[in-house]
Amino acid sequence: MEAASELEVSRAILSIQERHGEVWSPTPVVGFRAWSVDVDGLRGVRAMWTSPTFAATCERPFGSNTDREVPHTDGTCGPPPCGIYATHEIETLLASGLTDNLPDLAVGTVALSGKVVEHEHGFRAQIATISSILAFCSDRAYFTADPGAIAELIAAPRAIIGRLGVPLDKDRKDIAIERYGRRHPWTSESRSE
Amino acid sequence: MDIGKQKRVIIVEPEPVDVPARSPQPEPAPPRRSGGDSRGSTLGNHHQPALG
Repeated sequence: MEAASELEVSRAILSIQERHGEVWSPTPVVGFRAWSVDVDGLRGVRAMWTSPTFAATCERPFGSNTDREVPHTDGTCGPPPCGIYATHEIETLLASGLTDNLPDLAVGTVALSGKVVEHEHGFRAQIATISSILAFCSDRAYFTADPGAIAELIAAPRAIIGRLGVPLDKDRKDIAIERYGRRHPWTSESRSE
Repeated sequence: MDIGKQKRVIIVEPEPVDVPARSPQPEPAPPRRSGGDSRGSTLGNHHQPALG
């Protein structure tokens, strides 16, 4: 294709993307999630995570459901609509009440990829990979951002936290805010906006 | 969990690779030394007699 035609095609694609409210990013979007700590994995709201990467599916009973379309933005599924949910800020996640009644809890950052739908306070994603995790079990806390250690933790969360965790010395929410709060350098460098 | 109103769609994909990968550059050969001249020459033309 000649340079002039390439430019025209590129401009046309950009124009279509802008019209449909769609932008492209080469790097994952970072969000926050919570799980319940189980014996053999981390339990999300709907499904068990048995590896650091999870791909969304849609349970709507009709219509097309290809990987490229999930999470849907056409209002044909839900409520709530499909996708892996994550929040912009840890504070939003902790204030949602989702984590209040979980006896054993994990919170962490997820790298969102594929199709990511941005909302006012969070995201719905096609693919999410845990990039760091802070897990609590009984009276111990364990944090890691090492991919190998994250995979080990997910395989046997309770055993790993029991073996490698440190005793809790304050409230779980306070520890999570200290680790992931808005002003902490750990998250300020990886903000998506 | 309420994450508010939908704003936009972000497609996260690595940059498409449509440019053929460049073959690795061969490492430069070490400078050849001319037969009897232990001082050698790194100027590249070993057919010229060493001056001086």
